[in-house]
Amino acid sequence: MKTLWRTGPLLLALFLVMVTASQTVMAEPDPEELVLVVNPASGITSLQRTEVINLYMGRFRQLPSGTTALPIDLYDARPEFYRLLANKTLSEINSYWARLVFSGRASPPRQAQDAAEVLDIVSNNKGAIGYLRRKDLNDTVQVAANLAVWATEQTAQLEP
Amino acid sequence: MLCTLIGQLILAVDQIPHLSQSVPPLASNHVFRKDLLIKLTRNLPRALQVLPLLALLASTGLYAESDFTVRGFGTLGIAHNSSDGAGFTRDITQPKGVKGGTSGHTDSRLGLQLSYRPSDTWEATAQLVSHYNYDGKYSPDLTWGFIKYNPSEELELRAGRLGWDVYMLADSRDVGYSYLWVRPPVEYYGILQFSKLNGVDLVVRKPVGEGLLWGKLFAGEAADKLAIDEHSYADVGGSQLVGGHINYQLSEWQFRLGYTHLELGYDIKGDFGDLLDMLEASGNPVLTGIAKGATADATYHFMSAGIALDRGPLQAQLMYTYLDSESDMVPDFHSGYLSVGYRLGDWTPYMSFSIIAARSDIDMGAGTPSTAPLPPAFGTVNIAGINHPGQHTLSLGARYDFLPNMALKLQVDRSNVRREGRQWMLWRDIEADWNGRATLFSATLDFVF
Repeated sequence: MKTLWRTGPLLLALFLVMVTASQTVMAEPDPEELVLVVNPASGITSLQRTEVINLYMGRFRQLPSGTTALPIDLYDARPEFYRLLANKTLSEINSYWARLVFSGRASPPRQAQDAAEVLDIVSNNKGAIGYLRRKDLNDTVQVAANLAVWATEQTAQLEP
Repeated sequence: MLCTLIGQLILAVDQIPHLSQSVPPLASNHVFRKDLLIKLTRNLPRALQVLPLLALLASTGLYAESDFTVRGFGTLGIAHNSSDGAGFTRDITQPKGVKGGTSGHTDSRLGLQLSYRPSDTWEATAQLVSHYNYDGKYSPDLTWGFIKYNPSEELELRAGRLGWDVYMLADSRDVGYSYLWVRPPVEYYGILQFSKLNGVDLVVRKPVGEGLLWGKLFAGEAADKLAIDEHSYADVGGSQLVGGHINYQLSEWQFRLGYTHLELGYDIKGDFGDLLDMLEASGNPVLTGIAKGATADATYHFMSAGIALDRGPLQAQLMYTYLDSESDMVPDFHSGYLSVGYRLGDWTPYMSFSIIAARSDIDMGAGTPSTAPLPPAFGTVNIAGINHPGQHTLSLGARYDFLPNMALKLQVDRSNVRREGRQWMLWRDIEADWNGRATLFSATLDFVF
């Protein structure tokens, strides 16, 4: 009992150090991770996953503010983006769009070739929404979500 | 004729841009092209002003972003029916089925879509599809040709030739690349079906709670020609269709309820039409009655409900339709299917079970003639034998996505068809001693470009 009394605070301190350390690791963002960006004048601070799915899957392309949304794909990052967003492969996304396009319903998002193009479109269109790697961010756009977080949520959701 | 289609398909395959080449024009290019177009058209004689437009149509794709887009889809398929008791058809437009052998007609098709979108609010789209049709030919069919007005995300109006959006997926039945199966379950999508109408539709969307509520209303006239046999067809053009559906999309779930009211009227052409004309002109009241009954107008109500789940690698669908027939000669029908697929790497194995059955307690009435052709949506039938026609099919298959715009599919179907009234179903050239069972092996190559 006496031992516990003495080692208790020590263990607690050790635990706190570990928690702080792990939080420091969390706070150091991965420069390669994908972040969702919007125009600073869009009035959006953050977006829910279901909202982003509606925008990117052509279900409802309107921002919460009422502005018509212009979703942008970053061509090379599409496989990663759709895996994080909906756990879908590029083939599945193409197959999904084939149905909508050839039933005359909607068109897929506009394709940007590189991060600079995403930044250019998003910073010049109030309703534009795009994604890019954290390292390519600049202050002309605003981060609306971290995609890796959704992927974690999704995994948690799938586990019983 | 098939050779022609295969030739077209091969040509199309050659033109499918590789992933890295299917890059859409950059925004600046887009503006440049538009300026160029205006300059060129101004300097050309009026008759030639369309040429630069055609040039613009040259290279686009699923993700194209110029004002003009050209997109396409296709399926190159073979189906083998191990039974020589009856010829299998995929839907009621096919005059001849695959019987005790292999055929490329059943599933092969090629579609081309041209779209012009001068602004966010206006769009004009035309879509041509070539497939084995009622006349045994592959002449392209105009499946879509509409103008769309899209003033906001909440409202969309279209007018022109439209797909018959009667069930979930019904208006993309020809686009093999868009679904898992080799062909949509025939009991559900093949029998009680038209494909297009000339008319208008209206879509309204509204976020409700966590999900999206949306609905569609449509009205128009049918524009299909349906095969009866190799030498006869029914023209259902002018039949009135009015309907709609309401959907709730909640994350990965989609729920849908639909209703369509059909006033079916049609002309029977070809050998069978001539026969009916002869009967009608015979002066014999019984024969005249049969001929009149065969082409009598009637009202039908389609009530449908569907649930679809699309969660990551899992895709599942459960659909049901009840056909309420006001015709004296057509019973009411239940129809439905369950389909489940699960992606494993590039392969997606799937299974489906689909069924159609007439209500068994149908009373055909004492005055019903013993033999009569039925309204063409259902083929022709010997009335005396139809207490409750029906069939069901169990399908197992796998889809292999080996390129981002191309998939290979393999499927086995085991069909079981009731003896009574089986001409109603999707079988042609039926042998009297057929036991109603057939096993089909199918392979398709599906692509978009």
